[in-house]
Amino acid sequence: MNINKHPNLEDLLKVKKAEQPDDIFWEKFDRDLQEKTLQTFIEQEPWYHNVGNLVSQYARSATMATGLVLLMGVALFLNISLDRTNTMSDMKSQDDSQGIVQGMVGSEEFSDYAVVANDTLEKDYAVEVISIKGTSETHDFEADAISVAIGNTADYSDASVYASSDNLRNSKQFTQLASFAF
Amino acid sequence: MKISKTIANEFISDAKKAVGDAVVSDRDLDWAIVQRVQNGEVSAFNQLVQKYRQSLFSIIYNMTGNREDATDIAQDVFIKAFQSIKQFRGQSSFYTWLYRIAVNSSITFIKRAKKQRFINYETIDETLVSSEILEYFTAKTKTEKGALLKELQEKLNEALQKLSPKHRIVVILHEVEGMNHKEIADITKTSEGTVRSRLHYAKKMLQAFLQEYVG
Repeated sequence: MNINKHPNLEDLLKVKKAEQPDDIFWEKFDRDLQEKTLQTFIEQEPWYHNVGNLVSQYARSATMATGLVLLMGVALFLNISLDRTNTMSDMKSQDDSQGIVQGMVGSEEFSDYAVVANDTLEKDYAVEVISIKGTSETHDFEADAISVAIGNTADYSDASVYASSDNLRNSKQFTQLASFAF
Repeated sequence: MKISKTIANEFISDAKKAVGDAVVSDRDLDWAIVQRVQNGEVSAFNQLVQKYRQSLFSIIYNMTGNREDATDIAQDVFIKAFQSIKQFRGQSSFYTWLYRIAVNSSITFIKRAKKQRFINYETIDETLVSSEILEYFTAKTKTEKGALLKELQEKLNEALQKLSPKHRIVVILHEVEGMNHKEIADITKTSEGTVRSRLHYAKKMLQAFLQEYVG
């Protein structure tokens, strides 16, 4: 290029090529690049590693969930089996007790409460039943007492009356009251 | 593209080991190294770094106009290339692929850092500047060589930064790095026609910005 001639753009742009870093810069560049590369690989695992981790994490959760469900299933199954065994034995003992109750119901004393005894009535209730039946029998004695009073006013002894009834011991007071009334 | 003799010889001997004694092109040399890296010889990647770091840094530096930013981006580009090297199939030359990453990274950076950029220039190696240009300007402006170079550097960078990134990259790759239209088209993923058109427009703009220095 003639120094008297004006440089053109291409000549001028060649100055840009002279802008070059020195060796110290490149040493630092290489060192930093190595550090950055290491950092990148420590901090960020490849995407397929992340996917792998994610899958294994899900698999672990799924396994745990499945295990839990299986455990619950087994527990439930065992519980049902135990319940069934207990139910069977309960039913057996219930049948036995029912047999006893029904046996009692079959007798004359339990005839009025046979329907109740079929379901849940136990031996203890039989005592109660007996007491109820006794109350109803008390009312029957009233008629006997009246007939005694009407039929034989001269004879106040209670011997003949007791002879014709089963429970005249309780009706002595009623007989005396009736004789005052007539 | 300038490569030091020692590095070039090292690559050739390595490539001959890999490819055999047949005549090998620069592209084949790179492909042989890439294959070694792909096969697990990670340290071989350093040869590619040593071979391309200077021109890669130059492209990024001229794109960003900042030394520190260019350093960071260049290092990131090498890391990206290393991370994705398994995906490189050798359909294009390695440097086309590498420079494409560099160009895309630079443009992304420029777009992001549009409002917060500051200028931090690289030092000029006086021995590399044409003595004729220096003589012309020192004679004309009567200024000292160092000061003149500093002024030229500032004006050139200012002018380049006024261009849009897509025009700037074409000028840098063609005028500074000495690539042909086909290579630039491959790197920028455009047609050769587009490259010519952008180059013409960019030069016209630069001529206008630097009219006091150019004839």
